[in-house]
Amino acid sequence: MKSDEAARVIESLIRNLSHELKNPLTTIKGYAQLLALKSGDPASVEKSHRMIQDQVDRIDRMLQDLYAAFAPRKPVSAGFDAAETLRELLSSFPEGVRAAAGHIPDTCPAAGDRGALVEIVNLIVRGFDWGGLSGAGCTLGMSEPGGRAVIDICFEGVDMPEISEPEFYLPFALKKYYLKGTEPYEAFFIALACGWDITPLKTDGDPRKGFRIWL
Amino acid sequence: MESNYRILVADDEQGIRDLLSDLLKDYFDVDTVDRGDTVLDRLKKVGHEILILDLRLPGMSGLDVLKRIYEDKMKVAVVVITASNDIETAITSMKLGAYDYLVKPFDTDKLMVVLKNIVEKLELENEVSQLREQLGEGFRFKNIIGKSPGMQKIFSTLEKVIDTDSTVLIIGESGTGKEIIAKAVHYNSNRKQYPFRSIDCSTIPQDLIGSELFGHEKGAFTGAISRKIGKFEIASRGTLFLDEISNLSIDMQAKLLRVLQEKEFERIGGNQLIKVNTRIVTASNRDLREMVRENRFREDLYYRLNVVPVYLPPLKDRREDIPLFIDHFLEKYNGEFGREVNLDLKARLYLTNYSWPGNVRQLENVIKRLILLSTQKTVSLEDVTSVLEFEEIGMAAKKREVTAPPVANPRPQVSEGVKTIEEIEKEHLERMLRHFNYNISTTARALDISRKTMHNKLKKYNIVIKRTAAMEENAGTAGGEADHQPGH
Repeated sequence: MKSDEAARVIESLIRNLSHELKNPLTTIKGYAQLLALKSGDPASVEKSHRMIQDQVDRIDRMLQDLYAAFAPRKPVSAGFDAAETLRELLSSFPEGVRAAAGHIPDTCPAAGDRGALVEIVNLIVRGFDWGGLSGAGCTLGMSEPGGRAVIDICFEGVDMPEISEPEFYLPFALKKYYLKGTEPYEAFFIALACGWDITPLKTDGDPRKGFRIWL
Repeated sequence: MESNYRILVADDEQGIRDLLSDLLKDYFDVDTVDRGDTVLDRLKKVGHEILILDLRLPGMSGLDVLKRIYEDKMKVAVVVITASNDIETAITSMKLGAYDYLVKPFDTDKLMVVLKNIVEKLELENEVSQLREQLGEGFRFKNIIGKSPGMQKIFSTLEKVIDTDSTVLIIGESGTGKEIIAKAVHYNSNRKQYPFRSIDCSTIPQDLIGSELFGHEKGAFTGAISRKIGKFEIASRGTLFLDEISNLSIDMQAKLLRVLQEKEFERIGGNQLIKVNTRIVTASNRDLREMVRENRFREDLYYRLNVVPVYLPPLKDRREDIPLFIDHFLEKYNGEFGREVNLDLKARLYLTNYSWPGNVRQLENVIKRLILLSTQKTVSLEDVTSVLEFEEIGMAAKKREVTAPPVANPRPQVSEGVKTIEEIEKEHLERMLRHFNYNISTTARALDISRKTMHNKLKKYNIVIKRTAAMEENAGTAGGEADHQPGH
């Protein structure tokens, strides 16, 4: 990475992180001030304590999520059927996740950590803000361009911008679409640890946007 | 800071929504949304006066919400809250009409100050709006005194053209209420929420009238120390009333005509064309057609101004309205002076049949004076004739000043038994002084003259006021009410 590009990424990282931290900090600061204002009101005091505690826990979780991407992993390298894994994943999504099957071959032999693949797909699909983005849906499909197996996760019915590569490894860059904002970032580093790649889905003017996982 | 105002908090952060609800619920009616695309609908449905808006919102960004509020001219004071320190976003927000911009984590005290300022602004706006409404209410056609056929015809004509941009020319004697009709044209029209301004062309020197009408730039002429916005510009989208238009110089008439034709002008000393949409109402107590014939008024301007002519009849030609005016002024001045004075039947009849050369303004002055001077609750015919006598003296004197050249010996020979005007004035002064216990200031106020004029008259008629014990006491408490001794 060139130094100017690195500087830009670091600047974006700090900006995003600062933005995410400022919301809980505002709540903490506000309730601390409210605590002084309404010290005679037990219900208000109790709520202020609770809110401050919740926001501190939230900051802690946020930091844990950021570290989670770099948690030491020992990927298991074994052969597995990626097509079958994908079908299992599709049937395991909870209600509210509007995921449909695209083209999935009968079998697709792959090598690597099957559990890591399940984790990556779950982060990208389940972490999506399905409640907030009510018109959205996604399609999971497989293909083998150039002889390498890929899984495409394609979102539609939502005003998602063209996703760029840095957005995977910049936490909170896709916060508008993801519940915690760290899901694609975490998925990116897990894939990296497994020797896989995640790239933006080439859409060629297609309004659908998404991710391609290269196995 | 307790208020009935409604606040909408738009933030996708549950913690912030909770915080602002808890903080503000004692002072405001607080409502919250977590998405940008629901803000506009909620604002339209509920009509919140204040919006606290986060910029990073799902569905529609805060800036896009702000843009829509700005474009739709929605009446809501917006406080932007954001986690971003980006100065450009702050500038954009303010350009889009945001009231203030707070960066998270903001101080709740600071937010409360911002909201307090907004509440004060809203209170002021409400007050102005109510006052404007009240002011306008007084000038509704139905509230203007005039049940006579002449006045009803005027109202009917004006109602037909009220929402057009037509110029209106009001012709009428002095004191017939030309300005009230001009205000009625404004406050009954769809321009009523915009300014009404008036200029009396007879009282402003001709060399200043251009600046009054069109304004001037700094340094346009000696004394132009700062930019001045003219009445034309202030009254844009509203109404400009030019009273006594016949006094406008030929040069200024040409300028006025140009503005009426082009709807644009330049400030004096300026070179920027200013577009205006000002309705013009003019008035004159002189016959403008005659002035046109005498080449003292531009014919083209006359026809521009005379699109809707209104002839206000003198009061003597609409006697049906006189009892209404009497009651109106009795109510007005009894309220103002804390009195309960009324007129007996003979007094009313006399006033109704009087010629009223000074029209409604004169009638108003007479009623005001009767209430001030009256020592009893009912004003008699004698009181009325006494006040009118004094009125006539004043009017005759004014007329003499205007029409007659000064003469070497102003005291004419009069027949025996016939009082001169000066004798009547002296008697009236003495009577009034007695009535007000020889208090010069109070008597002068009641007679609507200055203390200086009062002293001059006392000197002229050699009226000596002797101090009484009560007056000495009053003089001590009233800060030295000077008694009059001729020659001092």
